[in-house]
Amino acid sequence: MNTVKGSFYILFQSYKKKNIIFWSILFSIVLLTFFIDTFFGQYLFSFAITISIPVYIFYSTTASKLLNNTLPYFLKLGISRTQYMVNVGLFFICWSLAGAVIITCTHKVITYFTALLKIKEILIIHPIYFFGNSTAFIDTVALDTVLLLFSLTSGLLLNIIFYRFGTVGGYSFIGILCLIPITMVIFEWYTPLFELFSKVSAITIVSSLLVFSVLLYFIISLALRKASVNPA
Amino acid sequence: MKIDVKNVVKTFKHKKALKNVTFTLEGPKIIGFLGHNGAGKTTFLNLLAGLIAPTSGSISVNGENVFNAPATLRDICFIAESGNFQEEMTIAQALKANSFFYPQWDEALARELLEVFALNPKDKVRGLSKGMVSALGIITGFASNAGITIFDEPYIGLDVAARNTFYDLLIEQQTENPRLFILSTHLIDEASDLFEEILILNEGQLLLQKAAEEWHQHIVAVKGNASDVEQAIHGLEIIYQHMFMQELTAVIYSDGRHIEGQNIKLERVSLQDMLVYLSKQQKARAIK
Repeated sequence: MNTVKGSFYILFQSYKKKNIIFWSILFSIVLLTFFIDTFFGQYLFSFAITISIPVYIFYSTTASKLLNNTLPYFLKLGISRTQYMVNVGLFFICWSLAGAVIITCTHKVITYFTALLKIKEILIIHPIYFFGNSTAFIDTVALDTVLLLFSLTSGLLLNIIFYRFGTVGGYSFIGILCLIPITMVIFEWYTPLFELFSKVSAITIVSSLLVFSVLLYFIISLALRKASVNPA
Repeated sequence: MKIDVKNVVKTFKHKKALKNVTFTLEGPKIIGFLGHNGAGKTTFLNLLAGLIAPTSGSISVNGENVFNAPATLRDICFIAESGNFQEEMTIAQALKANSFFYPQWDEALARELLEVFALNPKDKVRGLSKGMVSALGIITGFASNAGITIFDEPYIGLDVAARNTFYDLLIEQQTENPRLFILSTHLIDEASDLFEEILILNEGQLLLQKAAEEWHQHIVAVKGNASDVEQAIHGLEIIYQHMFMQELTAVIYSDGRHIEGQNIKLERVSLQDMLVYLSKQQKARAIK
């Protein structure tokens, strides 16, 4: 239990500053957008704000450096690779949940002030709108938690590829990933994919994404079982 | 604490860093883990701390394998040359983080040593000088109270006074709370009096393992005319030899045997000289 507490403490302290900087910049942009829209929106512009997508990108990029930044340190503290992955996994869940709550609260605050100040020109972009018009607090938090978990896991996957196989292996993997959408376009695989997405419910898509993230995390854990303290 | 190293081989892409190393260490004791650059010291210490996996062979502590074994690793504190702390943290946070992982962590000692080394707990690790980071490593090593405490070049950037403080602390800790300390350093002359046992690695192999008091009986430099020296050391293991101004110096492993001969001089070999000889030997081989 102590190692879980310790791991949370270290991960929190290590990423505290980055998080503060990121959220400060994001909130500043939101405030600026609000300010400009309040004074000039009715004459000149209409604004679209997205809070969630920058957060997904931030989480993903942070996770893509996590192993290099923390694995050697944790191993020196005497924990096993399995313990490391379990502790990081728990931290990811808490971090995703915290991120999702902040995103949703921010959306609610923006909506509240938009109504209060009678601003009609601000449009909030969020993946929840792809699944209908429900913007219930719990639904938004759940969706964001899953998406943030997926972002973190994908970032970590990229990190482990670079960590285990070096720069050549890492960029080759990115190259292969880029080939997937190109192949999809060439063979027109996107049509059945979109059809599938339109047929299944939001719950199914989100649950599948969650299962996929967990599976991906399990594979990453297996790949890390004998990882060295020195990246390739 | 007992460390068993059996037939350990560690191979990196193009290099065999450790070649079938086998030995046993038993503590409490202060062990000098020595060797020239590239001898395989840090590789071995990384293996002992479970940071890397051996290519073949095994390392166990009290009969338990160390790799991926948190129950065993809890008793090992490894202070490496660098990368012991997260740079974003303050000194106080780094020490608090350590306290979660070492069950015997001594918070009072950590605070006391912060004052000894004049470190401000509120300073960030990122902003510390090399010497200050080394001091923080030393504090962590002592305060961890781990059964096996490994210091790999622990005092990079520390001045003479601070290094002497480290030596004093090492003796004090060994008296008050005996443990197995493994000290790897290049400042051998300064630290040689502390060692109770000496291990020398040479080109990935264990060259010798001796108790400190046995050292002078077993490692001897024989000097004199080439033919006289060769006659005197016949059948003994030669560690290093060189010719200068028609005088042959041969450093030999006498294994307690009495060396006799005409017109020869027997001299003691300090640890420092021994490593200089080994280093010269390695360079000579590389040139050939």
